[in-house]
Amino acid sequence: MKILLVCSGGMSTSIVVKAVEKKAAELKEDVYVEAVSTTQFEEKLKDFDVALIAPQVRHRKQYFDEIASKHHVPTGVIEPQAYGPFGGEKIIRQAKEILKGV
Amino acid sequence: MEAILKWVEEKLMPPMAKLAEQRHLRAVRDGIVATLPLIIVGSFFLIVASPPIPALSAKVQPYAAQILLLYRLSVGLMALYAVHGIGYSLAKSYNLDPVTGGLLALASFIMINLPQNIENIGFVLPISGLGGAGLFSAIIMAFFAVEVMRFLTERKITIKMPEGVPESVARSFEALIPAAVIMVIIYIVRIALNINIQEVIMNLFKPLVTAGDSLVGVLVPVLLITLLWSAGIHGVSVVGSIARPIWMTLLDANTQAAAAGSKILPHIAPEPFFQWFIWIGGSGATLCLVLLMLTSRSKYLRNLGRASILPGICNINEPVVFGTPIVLNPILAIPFILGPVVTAILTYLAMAANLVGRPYILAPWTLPAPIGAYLATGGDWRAAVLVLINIAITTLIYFPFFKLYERKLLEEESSDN
Repeated sequence: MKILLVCSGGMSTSIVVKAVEKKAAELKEDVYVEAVSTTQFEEKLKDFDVALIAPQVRHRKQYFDEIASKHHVPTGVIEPQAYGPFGGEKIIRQAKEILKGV
Repeated sequence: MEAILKWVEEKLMPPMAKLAEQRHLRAVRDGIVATLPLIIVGSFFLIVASPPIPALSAKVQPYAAQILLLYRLSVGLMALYAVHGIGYSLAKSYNLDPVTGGLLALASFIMINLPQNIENIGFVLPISGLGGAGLFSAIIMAFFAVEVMRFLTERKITIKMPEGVPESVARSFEALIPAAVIMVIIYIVRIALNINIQEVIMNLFKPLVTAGDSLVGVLVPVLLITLLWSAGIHGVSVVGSIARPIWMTLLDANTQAAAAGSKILPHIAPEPFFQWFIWIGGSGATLCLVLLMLTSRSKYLRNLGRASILPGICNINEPVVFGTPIVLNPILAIPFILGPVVTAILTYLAMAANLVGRPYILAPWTLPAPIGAYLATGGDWRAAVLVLINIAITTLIYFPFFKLYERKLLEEESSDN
């Protein structure tokens, strides 16, 4: 499962990437995750199964959705409570649920 | 407090988010942000040309003019670099050819700056209008160029090449009519009627720039940013899309004054003012909160503090904002909003009284705040001290609320066991 995380500058999502990677290793899940900034979103998107939007840029969801629908990648907004150093498991679960629904 | 947070989420956030998503503002933001690498590196040439250490500064002095050349060709041409990106992004948002959009925007902006014929040299384009002072003209001219292009394309007033013609050739033919319309309009207004468009636009926006440098002009963005963040929205990204052109204009005026050797700079509030003196550890000045967490009796806060200290020193605070959480937390939102207001007033007064140098260098925002403040002011050690004072003040403001929240968590943690 390949998850793309997007926030404003790609800085804070890179912290969340570590949290997800750590949890994925613990749970023995095959997860690849990468963080990008808003401007890199489109070029990276096509290589991923699902795109998750950081809560602080959720007001731009419509913009991300427009791009994502062009590449047929489903999206979701990360819950605020999951967006931190201990939220890895919630994010993996959320990504799975989105993919199940597709 | 809960009523305020509810108001922010339901009333303040939707229109602000909509405004930030408006395509013209988005294009301005993307265009200006794209120039930041050049401006950051270029402004460091200013420090190199006049280093804060007197002995070194004397040695560098004979080469200062040479070193400053690259500053002039980067920061000094800020509007020229931005206009292309603004035109590119705006055209892209309309599904028009972005390369043509960027090119026409660039041409429109250059054409309102008339070259001078200098003896023995030939035609010369003065660069004074191409820097921060020309930023608002650049924005307006980029809008003008792309809107003309859109108007003509929507009404099919373009030269369409038959299929099979290579895309790049077709593209240049499609741009012919927009280019002609733009150039004729600019010819009539700028040359035939001799209206100095640059000056007209500058005068139009002058009140906005002056307001942005006032104490109220500092407090409004500070409050909006923390209010938005307390609802979990990236405040700087939203407010910055409107305020950044003002901040850049102020910054450019300061760099020019510094390059000319003046000791007291004209403006207080370019972006580094907020970045280093107010947003210490990230929006809401959360570094002090992370420091308080490190020794917390609550296991959760202590772990979060440890995980957040390094990002916090680099001014990344989403782990704290969402992890603690501060978002929609009626206890911690109070110091999160109040702290920056207090330090903003204090810093503004300190700079207005010239107790601390005013910022003119753009340093990468992930530097630790005292170092960033030192660099931003061109090496004023008092700026670093002010940052430490601001950390102490915000710690005092956060402390009672932190204790209150910690007690709440401790109760929950003990009931869990």
